[in-house]
Amino acid sequence: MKLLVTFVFILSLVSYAFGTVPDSTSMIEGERYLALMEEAETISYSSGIVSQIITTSGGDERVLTMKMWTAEDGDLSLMAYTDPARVRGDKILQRDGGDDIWYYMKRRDRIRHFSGSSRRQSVMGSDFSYEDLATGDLTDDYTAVFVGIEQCNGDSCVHLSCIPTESGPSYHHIEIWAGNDDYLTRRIEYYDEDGHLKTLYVSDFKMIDGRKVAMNLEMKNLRDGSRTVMLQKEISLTQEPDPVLFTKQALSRDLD
Amino acid sequence: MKSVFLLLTSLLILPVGAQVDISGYYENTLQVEYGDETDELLLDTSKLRLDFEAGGGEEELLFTGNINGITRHTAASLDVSAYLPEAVAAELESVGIGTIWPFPKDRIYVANAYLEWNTGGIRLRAGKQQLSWGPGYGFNPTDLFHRKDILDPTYEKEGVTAFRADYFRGIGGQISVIEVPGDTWESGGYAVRLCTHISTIGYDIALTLHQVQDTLTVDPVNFLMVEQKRRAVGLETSGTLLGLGIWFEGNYNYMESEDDFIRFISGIDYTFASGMNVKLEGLYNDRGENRTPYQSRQWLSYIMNGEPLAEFQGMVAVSKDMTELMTGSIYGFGCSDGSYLINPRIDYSIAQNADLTLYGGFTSGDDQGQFVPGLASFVGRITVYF
Repeated sequence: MKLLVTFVFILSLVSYAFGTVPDSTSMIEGERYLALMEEAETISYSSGIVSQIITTSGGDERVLTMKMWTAEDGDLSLMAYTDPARVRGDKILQRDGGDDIWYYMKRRDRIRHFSGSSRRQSVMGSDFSYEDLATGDLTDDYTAVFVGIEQCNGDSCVHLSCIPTESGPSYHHIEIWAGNDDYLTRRIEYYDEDGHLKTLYVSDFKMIDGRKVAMNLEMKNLRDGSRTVMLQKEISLTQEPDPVLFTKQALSRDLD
Repeated sequence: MKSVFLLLTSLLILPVGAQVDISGYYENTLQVEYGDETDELLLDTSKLRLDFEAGGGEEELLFTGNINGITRHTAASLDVSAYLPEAVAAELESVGIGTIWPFPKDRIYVANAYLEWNTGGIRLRAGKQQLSWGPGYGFNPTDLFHRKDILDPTYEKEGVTAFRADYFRGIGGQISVIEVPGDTWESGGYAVRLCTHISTIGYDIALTLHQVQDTLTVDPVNFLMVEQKRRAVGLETSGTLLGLGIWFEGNYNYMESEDDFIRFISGIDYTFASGMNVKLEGLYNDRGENRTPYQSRQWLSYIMNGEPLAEFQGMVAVSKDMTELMTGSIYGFGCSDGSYLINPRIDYSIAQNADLTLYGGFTSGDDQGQFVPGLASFVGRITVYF
């Protein structure tokens, strides 16, 4: 027992000496940057058309297209698939940042209510899970540690290491790189218990209705060798969507 | 057939400029079945589903639905003795019902076709439509309008001709009133459903009231359907508890000419970090029996109407994305009569517009049980969407 205590003590000293245990300054800085990122990324509401291109490890490709609406700073979202025919008319409603999910199957005219843990499931076979798409509050979902200022795709970026809170996503931890000037995400690495699972690359920023918005999100799955690109084909930030869109009433309604 | 002709005619005479969206799928299902007591059985079925939709814009009615055409390329009859204990098959033979059941080689029918009008929070629907609800996966006790023929190769329920009015309020508030016409007002079916979503705890809750003409049971003497009034009070709920998804669906049934009964399902599910989803669901069926052998009339009701025989039935389902394009799942069913059914299944997206589904069914356990042992079936289905 004495040997174990001695070993842990020495390990702690070594860890501290090499900077692997966060000090209070890096934690305070981490929380500050996380709040800045949350403020920069929060979009009150949006509507648009998104293409989801899934490329398998074998090179096969599937393309899905959906109309998408968000509101209440991303806490509410509705996705209505328009292509391919297999899923046309199917809809996914998320409320409370993905805590509540309803799936509507048009061919069966049926709504299913999913539980919280279903957020971990893949969305239509893509490399995005429901919780990846749910844009909850970063400061509620993670505690952050400032790692440093690093170069990321040619930009100077803030690097944060984030651990999910109890109510946050199911990952073990994530590493985020965000622009040092605009605090918008450039890259996120997702880790589970077994290590590095996938990486999200955010690119092609454009000014839309006075806001800088990423038009290309690419998720690369390091274990399966697959990737999914979400291309923002159209987006508007000016018109607040009808609140009815974020209710179960909209699920079975024709939204064309 | 007449209804299909009328429907096609009405589509053709829509005003010039009215756009009709047509989509659907074609699929072929090949099923091979082996039984301990029966010969190899081969079923090859093609199905064409045509979905149509017109209108639905502002100030417009929506007209939507689908026509199904099903053709069986193999025998137009089925030996149901594979699904029955020997004694029951013998009794059905002795009373002249037999066990070789014919079915139409070709069938074209309107599965759903209805008009819909939306204004504010009100929606009105009239015509043949889906009236399914309830969170249950293996069985829906509160679905008293649809009838599932367990021998039907298609997995979609045919719509029910009804008038339906819905009033929506808030996130998930909904009042539904349904009338299914009968030969008289008295013999029609009626339902009211009051549903709400409680945001603070994330639960959907619904209360259902039904009055229908029940024809699901079979007379033990003449083997004809017993027609009786059935009134039911039901409750449904779904939400999350301690990270588990939970759901409940059940009702109390007041019967005109048999004992009242309770029937409910309750289930939990969990998705692991790997994405693997596990579901457990149990059915309590007060209308069923807690001991075998079941009577022949009960077997008929089970095969023709999908009425469960056993008092208790449990389901375990495990599913996981094996690759981006392939999902594997396995369903296990067990009854309190000691019989079991295992359904392994693979769903594979073989092209942008096509899916391949492979599944099997294997039964074991008590030879008087709901799942008669020794049955093995293998099904392959290709579906092409357009």
